[in-house]
Amino acid sequence: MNPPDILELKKIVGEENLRDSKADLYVYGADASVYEGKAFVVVKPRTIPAVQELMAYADKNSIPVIPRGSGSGMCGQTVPVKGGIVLDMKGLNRILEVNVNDAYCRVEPGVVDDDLNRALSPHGFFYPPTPASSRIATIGGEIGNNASGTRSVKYGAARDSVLGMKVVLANGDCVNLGSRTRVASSGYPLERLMIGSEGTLAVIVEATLKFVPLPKFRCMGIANFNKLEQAGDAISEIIASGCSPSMLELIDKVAITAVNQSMNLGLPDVEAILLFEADGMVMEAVDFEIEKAREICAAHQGSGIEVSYDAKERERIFAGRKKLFPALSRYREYLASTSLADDMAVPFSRMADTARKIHETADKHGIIMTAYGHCGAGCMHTKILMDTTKGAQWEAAREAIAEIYEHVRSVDGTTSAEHGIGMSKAPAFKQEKHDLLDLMRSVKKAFDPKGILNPGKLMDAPDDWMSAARLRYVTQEGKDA
Amino acid sequence: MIEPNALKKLGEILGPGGLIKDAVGLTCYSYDAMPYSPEGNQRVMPDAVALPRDADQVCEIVSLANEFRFPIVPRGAGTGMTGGARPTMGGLVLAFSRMNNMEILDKDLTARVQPGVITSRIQQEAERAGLFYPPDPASSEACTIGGNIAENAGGLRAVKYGVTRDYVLGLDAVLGDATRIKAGAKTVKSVAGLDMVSLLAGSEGTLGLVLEAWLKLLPLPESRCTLLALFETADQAASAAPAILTARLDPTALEFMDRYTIECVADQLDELGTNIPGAMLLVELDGGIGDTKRRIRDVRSICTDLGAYNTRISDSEEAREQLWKARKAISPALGKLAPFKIDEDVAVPRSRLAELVRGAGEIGLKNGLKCACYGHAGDGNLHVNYLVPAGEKPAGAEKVARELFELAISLGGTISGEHGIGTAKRMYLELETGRAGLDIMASVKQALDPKGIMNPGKLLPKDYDTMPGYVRKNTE
Repeated sequence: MNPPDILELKKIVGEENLRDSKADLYVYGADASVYEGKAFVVVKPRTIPAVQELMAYADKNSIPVIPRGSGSGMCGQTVPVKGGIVLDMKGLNRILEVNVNDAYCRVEPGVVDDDLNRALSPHGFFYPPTPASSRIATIGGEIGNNASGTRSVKYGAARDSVLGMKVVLANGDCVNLGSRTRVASSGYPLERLMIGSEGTLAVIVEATLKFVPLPKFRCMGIANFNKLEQAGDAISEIIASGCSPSMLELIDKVAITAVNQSMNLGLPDVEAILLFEADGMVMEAVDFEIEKAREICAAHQGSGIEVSYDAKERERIFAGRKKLFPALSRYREYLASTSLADDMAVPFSRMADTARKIHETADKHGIIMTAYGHCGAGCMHTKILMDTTKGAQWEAAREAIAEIYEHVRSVDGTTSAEHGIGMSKAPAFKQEKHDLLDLMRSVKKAFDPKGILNPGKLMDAPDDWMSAARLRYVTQEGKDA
Repeated sequence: MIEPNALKKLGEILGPGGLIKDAVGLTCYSYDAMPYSPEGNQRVMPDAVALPRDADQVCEIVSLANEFRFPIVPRGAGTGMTGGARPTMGGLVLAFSRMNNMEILDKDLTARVQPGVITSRIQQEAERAGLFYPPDPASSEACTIGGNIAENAGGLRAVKYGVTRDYVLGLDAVLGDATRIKAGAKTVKSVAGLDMVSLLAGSEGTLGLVLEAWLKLLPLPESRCTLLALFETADQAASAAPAILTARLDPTALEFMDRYTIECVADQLDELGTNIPGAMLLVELDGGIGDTKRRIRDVRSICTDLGAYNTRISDSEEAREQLWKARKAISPALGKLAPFKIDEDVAVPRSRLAELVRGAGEIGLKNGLKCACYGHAGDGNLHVNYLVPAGEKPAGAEKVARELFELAISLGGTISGEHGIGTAKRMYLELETGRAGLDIMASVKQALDPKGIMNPGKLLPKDYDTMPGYVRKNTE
């Protein structure tokens, strides 16, 4: 792959929209994953024709292009591993239309999730996929990773909110995919392929998104369980009972300890805490659902059950879950909270034994792992807490991760629920989808014959995540981990 | 035509009774529910019809088709409206009627189904387990899930519950190049890699064949309630629809019918009497009992405010079913009235529905054709039928259809809401996607079906035709 001609790029995007200083390349070399890389140059196109021209130029000269939102991805999706051009899509950040009558909006890919929701809420609507990183995550990145979050159990993931989009293909052509209508069956649904493609097929330059009414009432509840399995049974039963919670979150013992230590919340010493929420337009309907969830939790030996409509109370109940990330990084001195085996999905009925398996595997390998997640959607997250200065801990993590994903496959689960694959989850992904990789590669080739779009990711990432790119940690032995 | 050698091998794969070659049998599989095609209505006979019993047989057949290079035309129940199941140049019709096993996995809220299972059976078996399979195309009593997935069928409940694609969690499929794949997952959340499931859902059998599917099921709603509202004019009814949606009353179904449509099924609607209204809406709600009752009253007052002169709420199972039976009888009833109807399916953002209804009528008037409109108002999805009097040929149909599609696109809509493209609309697809859009679709097709054997002559326009050298056996 070739380096680009800086002068040529300046002509396309304008001098003020191009950066290639050491500091810039460093910043744009990393994301929220364990990796770092180095691009040749960063450009921030401000118009669709500029993106088209850039792609045509890169394609002609076989230069890698890495589309990037805010870099909040956890698996190395936007880390440049083959040099090339980082395409900072935050230069295209306008909300183009909010159409209340048809309940859709059109946005540019660099719009930040929270900003979109701030624009929708005066109209009484919200855009539901909202991941935990919504303060910085962009719509383009969310679509690229099929992001979702705590409310996905009721409202679905990015996939469920995208109606259509405008993309620039590798050859510079700009095409409309999907529609602005609620139903469409006109030709191949290529917009569906874009969702979760992690920037490997085309560059999204505009998206048409559905939004939904903001509920008038929200009620949140919490229940403590001595045994993980009790919480697991409660989850399955709540889902099967016909009530549709707007949130159903599991927090495990490691996470409870972490938030207690760092925030002094005084959460009980139990194996699992379940948080549940119901929302709706009429209080009776919300009551009905929250009561059902409360009954089911109680029937499975849930204790300390509380529910509340009050905004302040809800905030207090949710505080532990909300501050989980920073709390985990302060779990113990010398232990870093790393995004490894960060995300998986299993059938509802296997949530509890999967959490159990994660803990046992971590114990066996002498590392600490937490299991939490949007269990109402079958989504499990973990963080590996380890001393990143020790090479042996990385080896232990490698083995633990392989065992955990083997378990996930054995219970008909899947490698990623909402964080994507990038490089860190590529080995598990490739094992899970071994019979689909050639197909995905040929689809990729149909879109991007020269392979310039985000090379080295997804099905084209290496089989060993540890050597896929430079790790941004230094071991005691003085060299890279 | 299929080489004798290949035919012999097909017979061996399929066993006794698995391969149809006689003229009567072939005729049965030479058509579907497409009323009219701008490319001509002549029927093309298939060279043979395969009735496979299992996935392995299907895979062997696709390998054979690659080796001997003959077209495969997949077929469910043949209820498609755009010619998806019709042979265009002979070849092998692959009918899934014998692959019709299914099971409900109630603990994981999923169903495992073979492609030949009839949609209403999935609905019924789910219901028996206290669960709910929401997609409900009007042809649900006859159509199969394989066809629903291939066309990404919508139906009456799409406004609240979405379309078939939204319920397909995973697929076992064989692609045009004979690769067998398992795509998707049994979990609700899944982002792993390129979404091949969603690509196949809506690909009209031109990329691969579904061998088995895992479907998402929902808990069965506690209660349902239906409102019938009669209006003097189509305009009033078409504007009441978006008003119900913006009032956040969350209808499960929101159906619009104009005067001509109502006339066709009037004998099944007791409440009309002799007075045929200008238009009517059928609105269904589901949810908790008290909640449903409250909301249906709100729907009624919106309809009354916007001009409904008569309304009736039905909450008994029997009364509701009668209403929906009449709704589902529209398409066949119109077909009886005008066998050569120009039957189009377009969708627009729902607030533009009234403009679409008005414009569709004007196009009919200009071209001297009666226009019957009905459809899923909640999705902005309108079925526009230009009725050609019995005995006459639909001259100028191509022009009428093009005018309608241009209108739909100018309103921000699409040329196909839920019926697919098939042969009926492929010459218009470029209006919506542009040339570059067609090119990239053709590259994807090439990637999955390099020899172009899968359902040739469908979806992409003529200039993208695969298998141009294939010689038809005979035509009728």
